[in-house]
Parts: sequence; structure tokens; C-alpha cells
Amino acid sequence: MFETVLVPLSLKESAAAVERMVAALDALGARTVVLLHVHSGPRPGRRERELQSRAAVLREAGYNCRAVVHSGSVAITAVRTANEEECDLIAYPWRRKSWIQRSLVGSVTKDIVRLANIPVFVYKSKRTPPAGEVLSIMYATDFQDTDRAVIPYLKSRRPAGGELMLFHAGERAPDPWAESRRLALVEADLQRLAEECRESGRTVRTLTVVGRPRTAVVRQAHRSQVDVLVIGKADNERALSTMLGSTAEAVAYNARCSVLIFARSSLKEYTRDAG
Amino acid sequence: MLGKHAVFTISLAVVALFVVAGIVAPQQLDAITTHLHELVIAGFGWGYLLAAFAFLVFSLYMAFGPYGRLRLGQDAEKPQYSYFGWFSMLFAAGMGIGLIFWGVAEPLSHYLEPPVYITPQSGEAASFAVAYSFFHWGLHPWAIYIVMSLSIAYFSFRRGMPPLISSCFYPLIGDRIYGPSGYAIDILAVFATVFGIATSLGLGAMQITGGLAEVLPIAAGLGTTLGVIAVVTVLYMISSMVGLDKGIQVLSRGNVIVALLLMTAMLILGPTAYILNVFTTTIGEYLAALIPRSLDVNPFEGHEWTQSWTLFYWAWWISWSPFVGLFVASISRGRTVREFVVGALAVPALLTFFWFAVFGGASLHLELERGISIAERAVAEVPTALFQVYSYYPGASILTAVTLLLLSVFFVTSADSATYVLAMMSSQGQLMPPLWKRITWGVLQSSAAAVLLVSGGLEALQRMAILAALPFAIVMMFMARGLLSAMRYERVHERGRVNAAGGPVSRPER
Repeated sequence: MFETVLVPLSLKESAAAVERMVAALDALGARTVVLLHVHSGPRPGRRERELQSRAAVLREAGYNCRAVVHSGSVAITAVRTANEEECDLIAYPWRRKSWIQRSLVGSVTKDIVRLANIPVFVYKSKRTPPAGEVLSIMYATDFQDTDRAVIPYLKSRRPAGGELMLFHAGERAPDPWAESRRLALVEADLQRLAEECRESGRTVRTLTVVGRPRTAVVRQAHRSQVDVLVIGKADNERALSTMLGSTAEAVAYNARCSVLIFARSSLKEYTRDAG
Repeated sequence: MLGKHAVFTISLAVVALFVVAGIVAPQQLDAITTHLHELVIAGFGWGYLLAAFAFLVFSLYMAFGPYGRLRLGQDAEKPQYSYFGWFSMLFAAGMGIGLIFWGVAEPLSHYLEPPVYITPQSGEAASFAVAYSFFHWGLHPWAIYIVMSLSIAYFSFRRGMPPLISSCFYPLIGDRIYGPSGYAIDILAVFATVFGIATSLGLGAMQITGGLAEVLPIAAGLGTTLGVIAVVTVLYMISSMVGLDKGIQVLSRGNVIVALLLMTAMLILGPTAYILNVFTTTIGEYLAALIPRSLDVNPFEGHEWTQSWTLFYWAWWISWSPFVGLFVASISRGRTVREFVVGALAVPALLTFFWFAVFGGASLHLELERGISIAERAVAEVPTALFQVYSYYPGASILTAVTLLLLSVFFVTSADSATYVLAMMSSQGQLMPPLWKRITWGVLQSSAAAVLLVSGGLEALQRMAILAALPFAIVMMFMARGLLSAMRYERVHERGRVNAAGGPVSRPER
């Protein structure tokens, strides 16, 4: 499903960390890895040599890998390169920034999530088990169109086995009758999705909580100790959300585990894939 | 343990405790409440201004935003009361006695003692006096009431929940509204209502007594004031037993007609052109300065004035909001959000502006144009200020008699609606609360007013009401948040889905 994966690197990552990440991508079904470095300073030649040497290490380890160097803004260049290289996924190794760093230079992770039209994998090495181990996955759904992009991935057997939790966080309805009706509808929708996802051979369970999705999803992922959190990204956020950042951006940054984000605009691709 | 009587029992006990403290130790209660009151106004005054302005913006958003067409009831429902009946009851509950009490005294007080940057008893002070009287009694109090009443009306008439303040918190705290959290909110509302209404009744009774002494050969003493409270209590208990439709509505309609007649009479008998000039000029100034004044705490100069007037009023309106909000909600079933907000904001405010222009304008005319020094006497004896102004115009005794009638009926309607609201709040939101509860609250609020008038604890009780405004301002912020979240839910998840009766699909037929 994710055959070609773009991996933007700042080159501050250790070689071992990159190798672990590529192994995790292999478990997701990646066949080709495109390493990208976006430089903004002098001596791009040195950076290119360093990136090429990392690609060589990965090739020696048996991965199909190539390296690309560009200049410009990291997020914009990563998204543009992913289009040019016909990648199916952008995998970005996450690095925590302090509040001051984020305020001054922003977050590349959030920018990539916001700009990308293809799925984005925010890799958090400390929270993702080594490749080959059984993964516990949580899909936070709001039953929008993005489900159609995500479900084919959840139905696939990559990575194999493990547990899948289908999770919904929503605001409470205005009165007790509407609330009981809402809960019944949510449960029915979760069961429908669960039925589809059981094809993957994973153990599937469902959970509903009341609350704001951007905080409830992160809290539940931590509470349930999941390895990968999957979430859809709405393209048309409301004005206030656009200013504050989308739920997907916030979850991608704040979750303690790796996060896989599907954009609604990637729907066509994946429907075709599934077909 | 207390079950369905928890709100009634706890609030009755605590209110009784405060009243007893006001009787037994009025000085200590006065000292404590004065200290707390000063702390709150000095520390959180800016918060009251921000909150009141936010409520005004919220009300306008409700009227002209995406939720304006929602109906406070089922989709096919029609309003329960005619426009005139509705406006009359709105006005009687929201302003009533206070407007008659302060209609002359407030402009004269600002004229005599404006903030330090204005020369007292000058033309500038007069212009400031009327402008700030408009400001204090204009759109902001109604915006505060609207946040409360719109939330209650929406959750009770559209969502089928009991008409209680705690019901508005369902989207935020869910079933916990049926436990201690919900009780705490309703008990706080009962406190604010009892404290507010008891002080208002005490002040109203003093004004009636003052007026009676002007037209009848009786002394304006404490005994007369207590007699006034007793008579009016009997009257409003009768009105309360007759019910909302026949009692309050008929009295309110009659009262608004009398108020309009009194205003027209004063306009004709007084300096007509001068009054209309004051009205027109001040409306313009009000609109032009609405935003800067809404946020003006005057930190550099005149801060004490802002504290003792604007911040006092904002806290006072917030403390009145549970009572007025619940009552206004109960008479607004079937109106659309837009109709409700525009009606409740514009009509009472316009009537209030005209009232201040007429009575404030006539009294300032005496000072500025006729050289009659009335301001100092009026401010020294606020309850009789209006009657003093009458004495310089033709037909003074008739005007005084009509004003007394108006005051008495406003007294009855305020006390009647407060009794109804208190009984409703302490009966789990029953629209027809038991008679014994109405009698209990009626007797308690009148006794509190009378006893505290004697002991001198009335002002302490008023400060208690204002202290209750601080937590209530926060409660109201959450109410607005809950209402927005509920309306957004309805628009996103239920729009266009109606049941056979025309109601929202989520609400079961009951």
C-alpha cells in the first residue's frame, strides 16, 4: 500500500535511528525509500555526500533506497518532492521542540501534516516497537470521508497481527435523549467499521468517549499504550480551527506514539488502490 | 438524602442563616460584606466589564449569526404571548422598580458627582450624566439577561429539559447536572435571586413610603414602610396564586400603559423640546461611544467612580440574571432566537432611554435652565427624588399618585415573578411549582426585606447579591459555551431532521 516512501532528514538523526525507522516502514509494506535533505545553508555538496552515504548504508542493509537534495522550506519542499517522486507516504522522524523553539521557528511536523495530500507518518522512535513485533493500532475516527481512505489500510495485513482499537471522541449532545441516540449511532458506526477491519486478522475492539477530539485522542492513545495512532485529516477546517491548527496537526505533535495521518484528498488514490 | 428537595432545603437554610445574621449582627455582616465587596470590585472589576461586553457580542452573534432562525420550542410552535404582553413582562421583570427609583436620582447624582476629570454641575457633567445613565441601563443589562434566558429557553423548550440553570450545563457536564454540581449551580441562583429581590423590595417600599408622605398626611417612617411591605406582600401573593397568564401578564400590561402615560405626561408638562434634544443627542453619543465605554475601566483617572457605578451595576445585573433570565425564558416560548434577542435588546433599552431622557432631562432642565438647585436634595434623598422634581411641574400630586400606583404594581410584579422563579428553581424546574413553595418564598423574601430594613442589614444583603455575581459571571461564560456547542450540534447533526410534531428529531415525544 505504501510502496514508495519519502523520508525527509535533517541529518541530525543518528544512522541507527534512521535504520530503525526504515525497518518500521518496511513493516508497513514500503519497497522504495526516498531520502530527502532540504538544505538552507552553505556547502550543499557536503550535505549531499552525507545523505548519499546514509542511502548507501540502507541499500547495504537490503532496502531499495535513493537520495535527493533540494533547497528551500522543509515542509513545502518535502510535499513537492513527494509529488515529483510519486511517493505514497511521507515519513517524518519527529523531534520534540521546546515551547520557545516552536514559537520561534514553528513545527515542520505540523507544516507537513497541514500541507500534504498524501498520508504522513510521524515517526516517534522511542514509542514504536522494533519492526517485526506485533503492533497495537488505534484508529481515531469521526466517521467522515477519510474513513474510506483509512479502512483499506486497516484491512490490509501490513503490519500483520496485533490489536486494532476503533476509537471515537465527540462532544456531548444537547440533551439526554439526543445523547443516548448519538451514542447508539456512534456504536453502530464503530461496529460497522469493526466488521470491515476484522478481515485483517487483527483483534478489533471499539471505544467511545465524550470530549474534544484533539485532547481525548491523545489521552486515550497514551492510556491504552498503543504503538501507532491512525487519524484522518479534514481538508475544510473551520476558520477558528485553521488558526489554532487542525485536530490532526495537534494530535500528530502531542501524541506520544507514532501517528499515521490520512488526508481526505488522498481518498481517490486509496479507493482506486482498494479497488 | 434530601432528594428532590435538596435545592429548596439547602438554599432556604442558607438564606435564613444570612437573614438571621443580618438581624442579630448587622454591623459585623456589614463589615464583612463591605470588605469582600471591595475586594471583588477592586480585583475583578475589569472582568465584569469584559464579561458584559462579551455577552453583548454573543447576543448579537446569536441574533444575526447562523442560529438566528432556531425556534425556542418546536419548529412549528407559535409564541405564547403577543408582542405587547411579552414586552410588558420583559420590562416589568428586568427594570421595573429600579428604573423609577433611579430615573431622576442617577442623572442628578452623576451631574453632582461626576468622575474627577469632569467639572461637577457643568454642562459637560450634565451630558455625561445622561449618557452614563443610558449606558448603565441600556443594552448591556439586557445582553446579560439574554445569555441566561436564551440558554434556559433553548434547553427547556427546544431540548425538553427542566427550566433550570443547571440544565444548560448538560452539554458540558452531562448527567452530573442531576448531582451536587447541578444543585450547586441552582442554589447559587436562588441566593442571588433572594438577596437581589429582598433589597429591591426594601428600596421600593422606601420609595412608596416617601411618595405616600408627599400626597397623604402620613409620616414617612419605618412603620409606614413596613405597612407598605405587608400590603404589597398580600397583593403579590394573590397575583402569584392567580398564575402567570392572568396575574403577572395583566399587571405588567397595565403597568407599561401607565408608564407610557406618565412619560408622555411628563414630556408634555415638562420642557418638551429640551427633553427631545437630550434624547436625540444622547442616543447618538451612546451609539458612538458604545465600544470604548464598554471596555473603559478608567485606570488612570476616575477609577473610583467607575468602581462605584459601572462595576456596581454590571455586578448587580449579573446577580439579577438568574431571576430575570428564568422569568424571561418562561415567557418566551415559541419565539425564534433572532426575534427573542432583537426584541429583548432593543425594545426595553429604547423605553429605558426615553425614560431617562424624559425624567433626567426634566430634572437637569430645572438645574441648568431654571436655576433651581434640586440635585443636592435629590441625591441626599434618593427615594423621593422623583417626587421632588414633580413639585416644580404642573399636576404634581396627580403625577405622584400615578407614580405610586406604578411603583406598587411594579413591586407586585417583581415580587410575584421572583416568587414564581424561586419556587420553580427549587422544584426541579416544574412550570407549575407547588403553592406551598410559592408561599414560603414569598413570605421569606418579604420578611427578609422588612426585617433587614429594621436592622439596617439591607445594604449588606445587596452586597451579598453582588458577591454572588462573581461566580455567576463565570457560570454564565460556561452557559454561553454550552449553548453554542448545543446549537452547533443541532445544526451539524440534526438539521432538517424533524419528527411528526415538527420538533427536533432527537427529542422524544413526551
